[in-house]
Amino acid sequence: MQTSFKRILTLSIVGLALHGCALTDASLEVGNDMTVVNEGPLSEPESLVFRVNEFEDAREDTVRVGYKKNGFGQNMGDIATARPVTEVISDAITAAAIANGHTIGESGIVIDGVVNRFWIETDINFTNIEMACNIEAEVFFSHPQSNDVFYSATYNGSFSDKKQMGTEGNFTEIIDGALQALIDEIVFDEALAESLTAL
Amino acid sequence: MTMNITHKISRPVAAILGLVIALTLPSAAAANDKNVVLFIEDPGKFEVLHSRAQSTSTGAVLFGLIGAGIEEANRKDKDEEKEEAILVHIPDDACHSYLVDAFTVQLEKKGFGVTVNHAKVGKTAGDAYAVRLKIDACGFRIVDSIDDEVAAYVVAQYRIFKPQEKTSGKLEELTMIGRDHRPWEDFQVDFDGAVNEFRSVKSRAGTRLANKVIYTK
Repeated sequence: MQTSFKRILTLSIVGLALHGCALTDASLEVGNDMTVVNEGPLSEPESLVFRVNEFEDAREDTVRVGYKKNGFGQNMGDIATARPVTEVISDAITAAAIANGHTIGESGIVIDGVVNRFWIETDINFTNIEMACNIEAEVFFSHPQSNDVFYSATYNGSFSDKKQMGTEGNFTEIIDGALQALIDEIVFDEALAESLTAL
Repeated sequence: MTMNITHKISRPVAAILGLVIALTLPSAAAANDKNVVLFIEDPGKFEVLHSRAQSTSTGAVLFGLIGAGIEEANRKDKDEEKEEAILVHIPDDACHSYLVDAFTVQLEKKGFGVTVNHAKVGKTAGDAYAVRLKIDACGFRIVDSIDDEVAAYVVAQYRIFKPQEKTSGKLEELTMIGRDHRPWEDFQVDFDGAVNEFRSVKSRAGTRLANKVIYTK
């Protein structure tokens, strides 16, 4: 009986160490699963060339994208992204452009942007953990020669789900869902497609 | 001037004419090939998730796990009070209102017809697409516990499928969080702002869902 208890305790400790407990900081590899990008009105203009510059980070807290919480809802370890959030978003927009029939090149339409929000909130409930991520970025599209902005918009992507554990895999899944939703807003932006077609 | 013309045709000719007319008329299925049927299987519930997201550590420190449980129940009551307070000012708290309107407008812009069915998935009569929608919740939820900010939200699950291909569609999640993040107290003194934001988030969800249908491969 005592041996079984020790085994369970050891397994629990190993499990916590592998998944990352609430005390430790998490550095998440997000935005790597952007292969499933929808087609939308963005695919309607004839094949265009884009140059996606790295975005500016205008968030108040640039160190983390959220906090892990303990069972009582207190903030514990930091949740951060392994790559800068600006790079994550630039890469996601690049993936969306390619999936909609466009290419990336130096002499293309310039895409710049500002990241205003990139935050994952966790609510500890009695039976589950509810996670919600919200990402917001202002995106500017400029003529390749004149650099004049011909279209700009603020895009917002959100995703939420209920999980049993606050594992790094679960945090990554929620953030990737919000990134996908942000990309959907760009891909489905009809006004953007019309501006690009009019060029 | 009125003319009464009577044609006398033989029975075989009438039969052939009838057959030609029947063949040239569109079939029931073809008549619905630009129709989308939306099944709202669960209309969802209005909720405020604010106090529940706050720490229960005070109760835990004073009275252990039971204290934390009591504090959590107390916070749930506070959220219910907040729901009641704001619902007085929201004329249409149904999660699917505005969502369905925006869904319909977006699809009609692309030449689709829309039928809304408040029921579990049923017969689709040759519609181009069917959407099964289950709304989990909508309302206002905490989005940033550091600055204690809340935003309007709607969370749903859906499946888009083509009835004629007898597919069931992939289960997908739809979360829409409002752009306007503010402390709860700000929304309490700006009910118009809260109402507009709540409508806006539902409309955005409807448009997103419609776009998912339009660009379904």
